[in-house]
Formats: sequence, structure tokens, C-alpha cells
Amino acid sequence: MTTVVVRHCGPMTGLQDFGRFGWQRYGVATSGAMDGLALAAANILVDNPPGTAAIEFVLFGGEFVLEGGSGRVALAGAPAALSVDGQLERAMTSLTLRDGQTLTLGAAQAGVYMYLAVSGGFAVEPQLGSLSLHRRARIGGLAGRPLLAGDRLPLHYAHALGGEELGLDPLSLEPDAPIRVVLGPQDDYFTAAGLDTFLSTSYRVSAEADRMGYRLSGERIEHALGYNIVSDGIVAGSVQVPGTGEPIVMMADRQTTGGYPKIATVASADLRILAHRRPGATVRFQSVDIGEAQGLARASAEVLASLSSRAKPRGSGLPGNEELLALNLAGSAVDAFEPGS
Amino acid sequence: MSAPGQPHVLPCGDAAVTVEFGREIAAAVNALALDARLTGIPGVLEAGSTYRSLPVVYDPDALDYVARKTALIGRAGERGP
Repeated sequence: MTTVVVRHCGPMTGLQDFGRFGWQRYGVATSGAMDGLALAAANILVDNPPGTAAIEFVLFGGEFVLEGGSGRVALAGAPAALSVDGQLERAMTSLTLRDGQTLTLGAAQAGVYMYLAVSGGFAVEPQLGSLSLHRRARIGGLAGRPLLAGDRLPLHYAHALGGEELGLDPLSLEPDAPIRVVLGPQDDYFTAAGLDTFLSTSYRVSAEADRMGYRLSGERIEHALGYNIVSDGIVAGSVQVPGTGEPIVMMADRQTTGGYPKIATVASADLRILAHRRPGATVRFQSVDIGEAQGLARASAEVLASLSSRAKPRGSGLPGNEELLALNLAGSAVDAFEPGS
Repeated sequence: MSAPGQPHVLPCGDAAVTVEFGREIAAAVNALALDARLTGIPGVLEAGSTYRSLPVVYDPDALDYVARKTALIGRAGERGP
């Protein structure tokens, strides 16, 4: 059986798909990729359905050996150095690994989450319908825990399918964009001054930021009705404000209920943008109405659906035009036909 | 608190709402939350569970917020078997 063998990887590396749905009423968190668009892109490049489980890396990369056959892989998400047997390769492009080749992924150069998809996916048994790892609940992934050196991930496909390698343009991480929110469900638990603080000041991602939630630091948000409520549902992007007055944005591994009032909910389209903000990064919130947030959600669903038509063959192995432009090789060139331009 | 009346539907971003039967732990409120049948509405993906409110996750592509709210208020008022 063709197998990906883990030589080493960062401590939070684990399998993620789009998540585990239908169990929240029993207290089971959804989990799922922190950047679902990047997961989809990695999968599309290896001709998988977009939500196929891939290896999610958190800041740190790793090293893997393919054993027993060949396989096609692709990396998407935060930019990082990628090499096969020591030779540099590109992210956002499918790569075919031969039996015995070693893939090495460096740390994220910006942003946080990276996804390595394998054509055909991993032959690992789902739990409650999903391969997504929830580390605290020890469910999903390989044996309910992050990957460790020596782990063996069997593949569904014995060999890489033929055909040209595919490429996609990099996905934007929008490091400076405001994070859009819909106020509520408990915005009435805050004073007008508190709402103004939330929307007009800058917060920073604290060191306490992981797949469960991002605790932010900054100006205290003033409560009007105390900071405890009878526990109420938590959804992806719920912005809880505990007694400290500093907001916590609930992410993929969030618990299903919580007892702090929620001032707002992050627009689903902006969750992946927030996810890529590291500790110390700035977060500004911008209020939008539900209709606008739903328009953003539809637009991102369309981007995701368009990935397969945007993936283009990159058979030559040479950089594309956009990559050459990005290198600015021609920055000081002169146009012979338009002197002075 | 007084007897619970019509549930409130509160927005939770672009893809979820909370159907709130009350803001306290009370037998009458809890009975409504336990009895509500909020799944099976087209576009509703998942309903959670708390003492006094139900988070409902829906597909914003299927119906917009106003239509969702109307459907949920109607359904939340019905009693289960």
C-alpha cells in the first residue's frame, strides 16, 4: 500500500476536511480546516473533491517520505518553502512524488495554515462522518491526535494518475483587511461606548490563539448587562466578550455553547482571513449588515466553486507570467517601441 | 419571569441564528427549547441545543435571513410530539 510516512512535523499538524456536522446538539465541535478555501485549492490541484481531508500545518512544516508507490500532492495556504529530495518546488502546483522521495515543507513565511492534499485522499477511517482532528476531544485525524514522527498515512491510490500538473494562482491572505462582523446576537449586553470601542479601535491577536479560538488584546469593551449569560449557542466566528472586556473569536474547534455575551459574529467569508493572523497581528472590526455578509459568503462560495476551472496545466515547470512579474525582473527595462515610457 | 411568549430570532452572522425562548433557566423556557423541531426546514443544516435557546446553522444560499427568520418563528411555535 502506498503510504506517507511522517519523518517529523510541527506539534499541531493534523488531518482536516470541511468539518464534522450534525453533532453540535450533542456537544461535538465541528472542527474542519481553518482555511477552507486553501484546503479546497490543494484538493482541486490533485483532482479531489474540494473537502477531501488533507494534512493541515500550523505555522510549522514537516518532512514526509512516500513509500510503496507514487502519488500526486499539492500545497496551498500560507506561503512556505517546499522541496522534494532537496530541490525547490512551488506551492499551488501539483507535484508527482515517486516511491521513496522526500517532501520537505518549511515554516509559514506569512500567515498560519498550510494544506498538503494527496490525490485520492488518505485511507483513514472517519469518525462521526469526518476525518477532522479535534485535539482536545481526541476525535478524528490519525488515532485522535496530531501527527507524530513515524506515523504512517495510507493512501487510497496505489499510484499517481497521469496527466499534466495543475497550477493555481496564490490565494490572498489579506493581512491588512478589516474583519467584517454582523452585530449580535447579544449586542444589547453592551453600552454604546462598548460597541464603539469594539468597532473603532485596533486589537491584537494574543498568544492564546489556536484552532479553538483567538483571544484578542486591546481596549476593554464595556458591558451594559454584566458579562454572564445563561449558556447560549456558539457558532463559527462568535465574538464573546468575557469579564476582561477583551474579545475572543471562536474558531473551528470551538465548544458548542458558551456563557459570555456575544457582541458580534465574524462574516463567514472573513474567518479564513482572521485565521491567518498570527499572535501580535492587528485586527480591526467593521460592522456590515446580514445581507452584505451573505453576499460575501456567496462570493466566496463562487470563488471556491471556480477553482477547478481556474486550475491550469503547468507542464513546463517554468514560472508563469505572473510569477515573473512578481519577481520584477523587468522593473528597469525600457520599451523599445515607446521610448521614454 | 413571566410565561415565555413568542421566541426571538437573533442573528449569528450570515449563516446562523439563535432561536431564543428566554434568557433564564426556567422549566417553561426549557420545555419550549426541548420541544422545538427546527430541523427539516429546507436550508437548515444543523440545530444545536442549550437550556433556553437553539442555535440554528443554515445555508445562506438557500434562503435569506428574513425568510429564514419567518420560517423559524413559525416552526418554533409548534410543539413537538
